Amino acid sequence: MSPMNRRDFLKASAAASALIALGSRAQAAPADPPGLAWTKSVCRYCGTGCGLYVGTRDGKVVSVKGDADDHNAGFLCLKGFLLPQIMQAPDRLTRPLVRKGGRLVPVSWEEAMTLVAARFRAAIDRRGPDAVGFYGSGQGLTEETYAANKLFKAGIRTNNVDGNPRLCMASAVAGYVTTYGKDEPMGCYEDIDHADVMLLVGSNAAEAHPILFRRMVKRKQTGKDVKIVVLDPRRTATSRVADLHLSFTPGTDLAILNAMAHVLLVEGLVDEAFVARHVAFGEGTEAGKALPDYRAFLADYTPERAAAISGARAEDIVTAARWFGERGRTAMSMWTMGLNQRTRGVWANNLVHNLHLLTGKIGLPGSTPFSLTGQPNACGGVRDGGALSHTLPYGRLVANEKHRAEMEKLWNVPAGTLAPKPGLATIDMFRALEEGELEALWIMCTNPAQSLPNADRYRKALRREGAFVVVTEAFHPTRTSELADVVLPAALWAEKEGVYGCGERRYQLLERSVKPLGEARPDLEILCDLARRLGHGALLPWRSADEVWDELREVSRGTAYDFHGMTRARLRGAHGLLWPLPVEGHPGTARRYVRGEDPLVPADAPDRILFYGRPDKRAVVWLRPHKAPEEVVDAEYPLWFTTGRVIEHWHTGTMTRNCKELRQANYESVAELHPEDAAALGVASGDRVRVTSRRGSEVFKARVVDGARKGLVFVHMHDPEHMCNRLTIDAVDPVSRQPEFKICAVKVGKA
Amino acid sequence: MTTVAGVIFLTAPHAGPRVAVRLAHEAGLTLAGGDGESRIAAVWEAPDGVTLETLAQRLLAGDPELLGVYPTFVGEDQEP
Repeated sequence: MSPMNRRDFLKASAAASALIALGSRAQAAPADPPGLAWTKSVCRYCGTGCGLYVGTRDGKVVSVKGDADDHNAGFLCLKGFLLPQIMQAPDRLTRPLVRKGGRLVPVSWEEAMTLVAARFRAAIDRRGPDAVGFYGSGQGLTEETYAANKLFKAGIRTNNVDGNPRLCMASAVAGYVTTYGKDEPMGCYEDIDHADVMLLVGSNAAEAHPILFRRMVKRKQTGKDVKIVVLDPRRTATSRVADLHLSFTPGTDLAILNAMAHVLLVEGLVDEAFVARHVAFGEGTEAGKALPDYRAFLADYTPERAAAISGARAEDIVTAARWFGERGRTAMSMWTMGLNQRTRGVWANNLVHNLHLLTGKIGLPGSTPFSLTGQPNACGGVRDGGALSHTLPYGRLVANEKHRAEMEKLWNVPAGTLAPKPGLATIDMFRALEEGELEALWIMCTNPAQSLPNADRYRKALRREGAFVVVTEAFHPTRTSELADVVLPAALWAEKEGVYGCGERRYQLLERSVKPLGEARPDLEILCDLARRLGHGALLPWRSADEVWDELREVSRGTAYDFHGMTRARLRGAHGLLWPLPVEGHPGTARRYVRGEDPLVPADAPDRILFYGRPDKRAVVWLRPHKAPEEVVDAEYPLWFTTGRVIEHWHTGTMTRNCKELRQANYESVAELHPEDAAALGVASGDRVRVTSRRGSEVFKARVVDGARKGLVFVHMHDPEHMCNRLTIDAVDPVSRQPEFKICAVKVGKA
Repeated sequence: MTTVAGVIFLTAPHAGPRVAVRLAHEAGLTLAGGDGESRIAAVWEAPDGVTLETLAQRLLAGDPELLGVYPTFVGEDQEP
C-alpha cells in the first residue's frame, strides 16, 4: 500500500467528515498522518456550541473537524472550519502594552501588572471599592469568569461586575425568571427534531445559528407538514424557507404576539386543564390576575388592531396562531436579538412564553420556548455563573440576604463581605466611567468600544482623563484596545482549558491543544496574578482550571443548576452534558420541569410538569401591552434603522476578519435599502450614503435589496471601520437593562 | 495551493439522486456518498476557499432542488 500524501489525507479527511455527517461512520476513519494530534473542543463562535476536534501538528493548530458524537452531528459552519487561521493571525498580541506618552508600548508582564495593581489600589483607596469595575464576556471560559466574579465581589467587595451578555440575552434571562422563576431554557436542541411548528421571532438563524438552522431545515423536510413561521421586519435568509413570514414595523411585535394569544382564546385553542393546573396570571410585577382578566386584556388585541399597529396582515396573524395552537401538534419558539435588544425586551419574551403556557405546548418533545444565544459561553459563564451586577452564582441574587450568606460561606469570607446593593449594569457602568465615578475598569475578552450602542459616547468615556482602562485581549489593535491604558495579551481558545456552556444548558470541556502564543497567558492566570497583587490571593488559590471547576461544582450543589455530578473526568469523556446533573451517574437533563427527566421534579409528582421555580409552582402568563420603541421615526429621521449578523462574520470581527476566505465576503458593512427608498434618495447599489441618527453618523456603501422592508435600513455589526453602533440608541429595558440596539430612527443621504 | 473541502449537499426531499447526477459533472467535485433521499456527501477541490464559496453560490442559485451546501471539513494543501 503506498504511503498517504498530504493531498490524499485531506481528501480522505474531507470524505470522512462528510460521510460522518451523513451517518456513514463505518467508512469514515482515515488514518491520521504522523505528527497530527486531535483534541476535543468547542467552536469559539456563536452560542450553538458545536463540538469539534482541534488538529495540531508541530505545536500549531492546523485543522478542525466536527464532532459527530456531539449535538451538531459533525457539522460546522465555515467560520468554525476556518478557526485555525485566527490562532496565528498577524494581529495576535504577544506582549503586554502600556500607554506611555500617548502610545502603547511593549513592556514586561511585571511592569504592566505592577502598574495595574497600583492604579486599582489607588482608585479603591480614594473612592472605595465601587470606584473599580469588571466588564466581562460571554466568550470567556466559565472558570475565568468565575474567578473575576469572586475577586471583584468577594475580594474587592464591589458588585460592579457585568459583561456583554447584558447586551444580548439579559431580556431573555428576565423573561424566563419572571415567567418560570428560574433562568435558562427548559428544552433542548433535540426538540427541533420533534417540532411540528417552529415560530422564529427576531431570529435570522440561517445566518446567526447556521448549524441549528440546518437542523430546522432537516426537520421541515423530513417531518409531516412541518410549518416554519418567521416574525421579522426583514425578509432574511431564514424567512425564505418559512411557510409564513410576517413582516412588520419594527417594535410592534408585542401587538402581534398578543393578537396571536387573542386568537388562541377566541378559537378554543387554549389547553384549559393545563392552564388551570399550572398557570397563574399577572400584571406589572404581581401574579394576582386570573384568566377572565387576561381575556379582558386581550379583547383589544384583535388581529385587525394588531395589523393596524404593526403593518402585518391580520389573516397572517390568525394563521400563525392557528398553526401554533392546533391540537395534537407540537410547537417550538426560538428567538434572539430581535426580541431581546429592546426597551420592552422582557415583555416581548413574556409574550412568547404566554403562547406556550396557554396551549400547554411546553415540556414535551418538540414543544418548548427556546431563546437562542449569541455567544459560546454567555449562558455557562456569565448567566449561570452569576457574573452580572445583580447576580451571584447559580441563580442567586445580590439583593437576597440568604443568597449572599450562602456565597459568603461557600467562599469562606466573613459574613457581610458581599455588598447588598447591585452594582452597575453595562450602560450604567460606562456612564459612571464617563462621569468619573468609576475610575478603573478591567475589560476581559470583549470589545465594547465597538459593540456598545451610542458607541462614540462611550469611546470618549474610555479615554476620559483620569480613567484607567485595562484590556485583556488576544488581538491588538481592536477598537477597544486602542483606547486602553494597559493591554494584556490573553491566550486564545485552543491555547487554554476550560468549560463553555451553550444555549441548551450543555456544558462542554475545551481541552488545551497548544501553548499560548508569545507571552500570552490564560485570563485565569492573569486574574490570579491580579488577586495576589491586591492582597486577595487566598480567594483565588487554584493551580489549574480543573481546581476551579471542582469549586464550581460545589457552588452549584443544591441549586436549580446542580451539576455536581459533572466531574472534569466525565466532561473529558462526554460530548457535552446538560444540567441539572446532580450526581455522577445521572445522564443529564434534556427537559427541565418534567417528571422522569428533571431530577428536581419528584418521581411521584402528580403531573407531567412541575414549575418548581416559583413558590406556587405555577408559571405566569403576563398581561403585557404593546409599547412603542424608545425612538420612532419622524419627519427629521424618517427611516427605521436595525442591525444584525451575516453568516460570514461574527461580533466585532476581531476573529473572522483574520480569515482570508471570510475577508472576501461581507467584509464591509453596507446599508441595505429597499428599492423604493433607494429610488427616493437617488441612490444605487455601490453609492456611498451617510446614515445619521440623533447620536452619530457613519458612511456606508449602499446595497439595494428586495428583502429589505420599505422604510428600514439594515447594517451588519461586524465592521470596525464602519461602525453601526455610532448610530444605535443606548436606551435600556427598565427590567433587564438591555439596550435597544435593534431599533432607532435615522436619515440617509448621499455621502 | 489547493483547498480541499468535505461538504454535504442538502436537497429537496427525494431529490438527492437527481441532484447527484447533476453534481457529478462539476469539475473538482467527487461524490463520496448519499442517503438516497436528500443528502449527498462529497469532496470538493478548488484553488482556494473563495472559489469554493463562489461555486457553492452558483450551484445554489442554479439548481432549485439544491437547498444548502454545508462544509464538514476544510483543509489546505500548498501544492497546486
